[in-house]
Amino acid sequence: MTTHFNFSVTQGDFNLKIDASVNDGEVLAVLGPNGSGKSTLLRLLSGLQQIDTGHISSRNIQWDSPTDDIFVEAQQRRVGVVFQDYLLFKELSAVENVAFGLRAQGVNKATAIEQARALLQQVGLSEHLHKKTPTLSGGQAQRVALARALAIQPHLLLLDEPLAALDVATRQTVRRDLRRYLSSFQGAVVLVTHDPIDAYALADRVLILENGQVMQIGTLNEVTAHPRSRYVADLVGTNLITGHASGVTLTTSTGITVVLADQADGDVFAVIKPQAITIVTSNELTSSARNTWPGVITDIDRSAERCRITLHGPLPLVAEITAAAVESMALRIGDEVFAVVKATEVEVYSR
Amino acid sequence: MLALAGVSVAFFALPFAGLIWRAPWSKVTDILSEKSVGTALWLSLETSLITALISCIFGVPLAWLLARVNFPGQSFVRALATLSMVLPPVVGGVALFFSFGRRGLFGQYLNDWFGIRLPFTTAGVVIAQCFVAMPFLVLTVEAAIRQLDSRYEDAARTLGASRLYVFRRITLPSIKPALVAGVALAWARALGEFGATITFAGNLPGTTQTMPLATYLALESDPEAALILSMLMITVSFVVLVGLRDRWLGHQRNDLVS
Repeated sequence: MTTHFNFSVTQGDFNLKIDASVNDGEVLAVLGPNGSGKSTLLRLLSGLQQIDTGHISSRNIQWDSPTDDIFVEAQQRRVGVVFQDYLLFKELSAVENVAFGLRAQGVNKATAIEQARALLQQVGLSEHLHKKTPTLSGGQAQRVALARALAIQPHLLLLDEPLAALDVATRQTVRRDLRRYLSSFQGAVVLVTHDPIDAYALADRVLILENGQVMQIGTLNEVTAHPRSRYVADLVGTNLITGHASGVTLTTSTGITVVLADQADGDVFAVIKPQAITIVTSNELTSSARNTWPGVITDIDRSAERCRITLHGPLPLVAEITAAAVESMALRIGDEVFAVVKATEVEVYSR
Repeated sequence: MLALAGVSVAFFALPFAGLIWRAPWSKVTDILSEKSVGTALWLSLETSLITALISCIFGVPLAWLLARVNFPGQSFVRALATLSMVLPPVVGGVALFFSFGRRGLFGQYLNDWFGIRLPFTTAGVVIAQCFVAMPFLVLTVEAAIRQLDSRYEDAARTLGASRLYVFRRITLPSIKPALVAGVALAWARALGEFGATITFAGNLPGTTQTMPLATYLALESDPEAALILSMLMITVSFVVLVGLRDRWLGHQRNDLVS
């Protein structure tokens, strides 16, 4: 069973247009910068807002279809939402929050509380059942919010930046726990985040949303291997070059040429992994199979054995070399250097 | 600044000083035990409490509508609902008279079809009071609902709660202080209602003659009684306002901080 959404909606001069689907048992991560339309997508899927054109359906039931005059309101959809700052009801205790959805649907109080208690036990909060929610820690509040959303046995679970409100130390454990809960959830999950680590840890597929448009959708491996925008390349931490290929030469829009190992034609993307780039301090003679570009070091980011060097030049690049190499060449910010890349390290795919 | 503020305080305090100074304190019990005074007092309490209740039942949904639902003509409806706050109450009374009076636009049908007559009845007093008092409740409650983070109501809806359930379990508990304040303000305004009442409902002792009307009439026939009646109403209003501030507005402040 699947949740399909293929719609367009316009707010002011912002247009959001998405065509995607998510299967039961699958986690789709929606990654995108701020203002890309992620939150609007969640409001549309949960039924808090209506689409302009297209349709949203879940398990073969139409939820929103303006041409058929169908709009199922939020309270009638089986959608559980974990909101970014959880939005737990302050006047209610943890167990009352979780029981809220069941009570709203007419389940009697004793049964609702009993089910809520069981759910909170599953997420390891049996000791905090009767605490008022403002006294809970961030990690506890997140789990109450998750239990509250799961209590209504949703077909679709929406998670809006579920870890963003947590501090770094808590985030790791909560992420691990969340992974466990999601793997036992039967329905479809849409996870909105701007943190690629969340997507890596929790998602089966990723949808890249930029400026209201789907830039890419696919498995994590597909998307990270062949990024199709600067945003994705930055997320993945790789170098993306856009240009036109002819024979074994790629020419960028700024006129830089890149030597390729294999023939290619037409409008293409090329990625160069930072690890594939060598930094040299003088422009030695290089073979034709090599690419050499000048650049100025604008940043050196050290982490243990490796250093990421940001180069500013005709072709902006990020290179990753060993700390030992940085030491031996005595590289400093502001140094003029050359980036050397073998033609076989440039991977080309069509646009 | 302080001096000007002091002038304001004096301006509000001096009239009451005059009243207290002139009040015939020795005759208080005699005047208050007079039958006509008791009747007017009870009628005032009865009608103003009914007004407060009706304002609550109809005003809260209106406040919710204005705060939470976007519809065409919203600002027009808001202006209409609060018009009587700035209108001279007499004008309100005249309007009511020509609408719900016996020969009024709607009043004639009320009379012909249902045998309901509003003018010169106690029900007419309540109608007049509602007309001028309900806006106080609507405005107070609407402002409170507006200040609420509507995302909590969204969250409740995604959990399967109907609009009514969301209102009852999420919205209402959060606006309780404002609701109490709104009801009290509407009640106090109804208690002091004069212009619309005398225009629409007349001045019939025991039926439509409320405290303010009795006070006004007494001013000509028995000024000492007027003074005592005024003192009584001031006391009631003052107690309401002071009570509001400490019990409810104070709590509301704390809620906002926490």
